[in-house]
Amino acid sequence: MNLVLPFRPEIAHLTIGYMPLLDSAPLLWAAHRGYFRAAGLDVELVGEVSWASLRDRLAYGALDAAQCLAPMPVAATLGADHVGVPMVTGLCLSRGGSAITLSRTIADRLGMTTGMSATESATAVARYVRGGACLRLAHVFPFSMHHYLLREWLSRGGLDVTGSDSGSIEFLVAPPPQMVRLLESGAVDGFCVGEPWNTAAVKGGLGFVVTPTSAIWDGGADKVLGVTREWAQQFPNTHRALLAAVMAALDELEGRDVTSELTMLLHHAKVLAVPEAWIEAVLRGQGTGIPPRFASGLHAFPRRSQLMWCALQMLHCRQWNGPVSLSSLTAAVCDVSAYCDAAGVLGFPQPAVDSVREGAGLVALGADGAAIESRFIDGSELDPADPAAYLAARGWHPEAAHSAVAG
Amino acid sequence: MVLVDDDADRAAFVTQALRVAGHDVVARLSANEDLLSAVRRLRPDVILVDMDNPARDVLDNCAAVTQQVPRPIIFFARDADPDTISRAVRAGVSAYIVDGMAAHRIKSILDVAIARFREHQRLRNELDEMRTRLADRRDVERAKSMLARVRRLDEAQAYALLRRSAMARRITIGEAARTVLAAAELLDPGVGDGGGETP
Repeated sequence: MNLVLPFRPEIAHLTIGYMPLLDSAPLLWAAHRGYFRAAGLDVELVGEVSWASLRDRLAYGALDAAQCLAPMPVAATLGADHVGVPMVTGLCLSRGGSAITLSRTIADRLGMTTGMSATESATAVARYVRGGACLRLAHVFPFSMHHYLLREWLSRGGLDVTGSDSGSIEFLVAPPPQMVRLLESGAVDGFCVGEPWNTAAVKGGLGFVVTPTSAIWDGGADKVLGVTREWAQQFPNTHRALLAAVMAALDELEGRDVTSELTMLLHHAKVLAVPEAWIEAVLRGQGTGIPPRFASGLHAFPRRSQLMWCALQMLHCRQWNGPVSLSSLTAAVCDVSAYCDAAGVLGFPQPAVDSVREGAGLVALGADGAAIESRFIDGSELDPADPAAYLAARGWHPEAAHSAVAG
Repeated sequence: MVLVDDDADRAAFVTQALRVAGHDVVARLSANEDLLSAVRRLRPDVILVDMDNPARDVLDNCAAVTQQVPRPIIFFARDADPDTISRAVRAGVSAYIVDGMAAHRIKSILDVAIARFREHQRLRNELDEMRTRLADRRDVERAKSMLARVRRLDEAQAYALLRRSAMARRITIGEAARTVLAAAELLDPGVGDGGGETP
């Protein structure tokens, strides 16, 4: 692809942080295929070992941009992350790609079988902990889809993990490469993590994959490309050139079968210390593999309603004690114009609206009427015009819900 | 104060300086320990952590879920000077600090930690540089004698050839020597043997 862009980047040399995971592929691919260079950028990719350090380096200017967990820019702008350096995103990188795995022992004890729905497995967990047992479940970061979707899964079984059942479930954070070891040592009973760690637990005979998180919310963004608000305002053209280069990579990753080449790239970049064959199996969705879905086309647009869902989760699990003006928060985080400008020059689809009714199934998003899918496991909906109703449906007193999202 | 750093050498270096400055370092923890229990047990006022330690996210979770630890611990501090934080982040050290701790104490601790992290990095860079220089000298010697043998040059001519090649390709003479040795190895596994195994 030849990127002839009308953007004249204010700065050309960029340092971009990523976490060595399968869904860092869009950034590695953009570098590999020369899209950054074609966009007039000289990009240095830097691998990080923790989300917290990646965030700090981004917040304090040691990185220009970074692959972020989708809730991170929201938490940063809200101040819930205790750093409080406002961030924006103009691009989704991936959706789904993670799964919930329980230890073989617990899964056997609960009578879990392949083919059980996520609701059935959550119900089995609820029955187990109501019988007096406790579960220790790990995820990757307090502000992650993994964390929130793990909680959503448990609540599907009728557990109130922020209230009456909070003593029965302990949530922990662990670095993904350590998850399988923690399962083996019995330090955790299960986890929600991206691949290939679910596959690794199954291959080691230690874990049982309960559900991919895409069954809990089909349509949620998993990773986004984040920059600080200050950076986005200072370097608008650089931001657009960067988005266009990564969009070109996303389009190619989803549009063509590049699995073999991508496997080699991820393997040689030493992204993951697992056998090359596993990476390929996961990318192809073979065995128990849950492949990441790269965000191409309209899926690459970071909808404000997706970001609103993240903020609602922060309220719901008490990471932030309101009130929050969700409308101004999501308007501040989602860089709609940067996305539209970059998509425009590539001739990629433009969104007609910046929010949709999440969970409503097939919802119209594109300027050409194209629709995307958004489904919650419990059939609920998030109406961006009435976010209080979403909290009320999760057991909040209507008045408390209204005052939490006031303004 | 607790230090989380898997690099024992640097941890000792930092601890010593902090003690000299009058701060009490009660423990050094590594990424593989149960950090949450240790933080609960030790109840530190400050946790200093190497930013390239994978345990960072575990600690960040302590900060996010304040009810898990007896006292609210936050990333750096609400009233810490942003310049100090920025310098710390660039030096690769991060901190969690009990809410309400005096700003001048925070600054004093961070200044010591930043200085020591930088100093340690400088020493490590110097060591790396010295190792590279030694390796360069060895590889240049081998490439020179191989070129002299194959192209029938004297040592000075072989060296000049190597240097010209390095300059033309804008690489160091050590890199040029390694390229020559690797190419020779590919073309004829016997040729590069002049000075030992190829890298």
